[in-house]
Amino acid sequence: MTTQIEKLPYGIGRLTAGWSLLVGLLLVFISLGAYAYYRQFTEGEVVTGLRNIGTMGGATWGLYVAFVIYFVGVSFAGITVAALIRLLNLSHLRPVSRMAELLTIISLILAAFSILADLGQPLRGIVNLLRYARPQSPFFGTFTLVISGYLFASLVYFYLAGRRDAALMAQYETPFRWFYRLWAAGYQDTPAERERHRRTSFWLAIAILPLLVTAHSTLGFVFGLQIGRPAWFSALQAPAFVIMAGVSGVGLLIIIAAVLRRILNEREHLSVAVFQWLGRFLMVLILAYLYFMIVELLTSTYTGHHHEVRLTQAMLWGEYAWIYWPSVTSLLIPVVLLIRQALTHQWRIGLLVASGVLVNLAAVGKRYLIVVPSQTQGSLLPYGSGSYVPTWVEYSIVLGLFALGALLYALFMKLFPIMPIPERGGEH
Amino acid sequence: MLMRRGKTLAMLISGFSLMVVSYFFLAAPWGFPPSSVVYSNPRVVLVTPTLISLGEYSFLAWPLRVLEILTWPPVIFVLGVMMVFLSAVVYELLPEKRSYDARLPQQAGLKQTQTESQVRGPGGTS
Repeated sequence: MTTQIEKLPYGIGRLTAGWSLLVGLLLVFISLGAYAYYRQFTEGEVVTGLRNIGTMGGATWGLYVAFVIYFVGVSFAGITVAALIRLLNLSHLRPVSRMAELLTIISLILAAFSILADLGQPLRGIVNLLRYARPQSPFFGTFTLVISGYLFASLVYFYLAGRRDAALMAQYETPFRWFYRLWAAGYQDTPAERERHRRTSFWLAIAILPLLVTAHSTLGFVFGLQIGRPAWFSALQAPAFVIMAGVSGVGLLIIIAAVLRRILNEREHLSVAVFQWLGRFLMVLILAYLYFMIVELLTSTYTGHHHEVRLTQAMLWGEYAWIYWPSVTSLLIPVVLLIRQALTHQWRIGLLVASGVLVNLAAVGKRYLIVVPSQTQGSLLPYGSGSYVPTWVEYSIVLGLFALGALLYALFMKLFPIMPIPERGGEH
Repeated sequence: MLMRRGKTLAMLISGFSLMVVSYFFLAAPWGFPPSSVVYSNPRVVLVTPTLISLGEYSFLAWPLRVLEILTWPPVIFVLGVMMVFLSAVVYELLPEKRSYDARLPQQAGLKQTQTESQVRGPGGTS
């Protein structure tokens, strides 16, 4: 049995000391998050920094909602890259397709958990949404398109794309043979099955791409359609959400691919060419987002309503400047690094990973700046400026969610090939 | 009996139908301006309880209970979305006509040989 497990590809079934240590650490963070959520659930949201807008001078949407947007955003890149690989036949990118799809699924699950964390009474929220949701509301679109449509479509795509590898894995004598057989569902890699999968994945990719643009747009509309909230009410919210989603998702995908390249020693399949493509994609997305940001900033400061101007001032040199400028810098540095690499044609994975880390920090900062300042500084009623400071409960729950996502990723890697198993000729 | 393509098509049509019916006919009505209270309440919430209570003591009691699902239009919409995407699974998993698929496994690479040579381990090892 041991010799069989040693032969499994990509370290499946091999529980190394490093991996065990990582899982142990993640379990500690998850426990901390679970304890924090228990405190919040039993004592109410008073243990968080969330307070009513206006009368209590606070924000009702805080860190949780910022991370809902962040996680949904991260999910964008995964399935987009997977769908583009299929539609544009980018065969050299196939090694990252499964890790991208998995990233989408896990981040959507984390987004759903973040929504639940934000609700004081999660069960009531779910039931009322399912029963009384209104089609005109962007919340309805976000729920039906993001959670049901997008997540389910990603799961279907992921499942079907993994059948071939499940069939291959089922030929090994492992304790999880039953699982691989179940996943393979009789797949035998016949020409007919391959052709059928080619057709299915093509049409799924065609269906998924517009779905995810719509889904991310509805999330942008949750903010962009609120006329009574300065800095939210903007036609640019929806497209900016889509673009920033791509920025954070591609950035995270680069990090994951680089980590797996090192852990699995897969320099051949996860070649520099793969990172080069991802880097170029990231560069274009950041440039587009910077353009949107400048347009929005000019509009709000040049001709904006005085509430909007006050809010912009708070971000540029007021209460939120300490988040705003580092976020902008975290976008500018990667774009300079990426342009330089694109011009010199010398791509360095270390610099790409650094860009990925920076854009994700920028994404978190920008999400926070979208959600919070409009509530604390943007009241149209004659209330003074409010404030919002997240408590340890919120930080712990968010940390626990990240740890849960990492744990799911780490567990999956030990159970199933994280990259498509190459065919006999060596191609994916 | 419907073949694979027929079942896939049936699932697609049913899924899209569920979405259209729930979105446009069961949930809150569309209208302008959308902020008006007239367009706030889901339509069937008022209709179905009345129907169900009317049939409470008749032989229609149980069939009318099924109508309760109509008070959950978002759930119906989600089911429709899921059905549409599940049609891809149906298309890929259900067998093709027997005569067509039966001869193909003989050509399959997987069945003939031990796959160890097909499966490359990390670092290019087999």
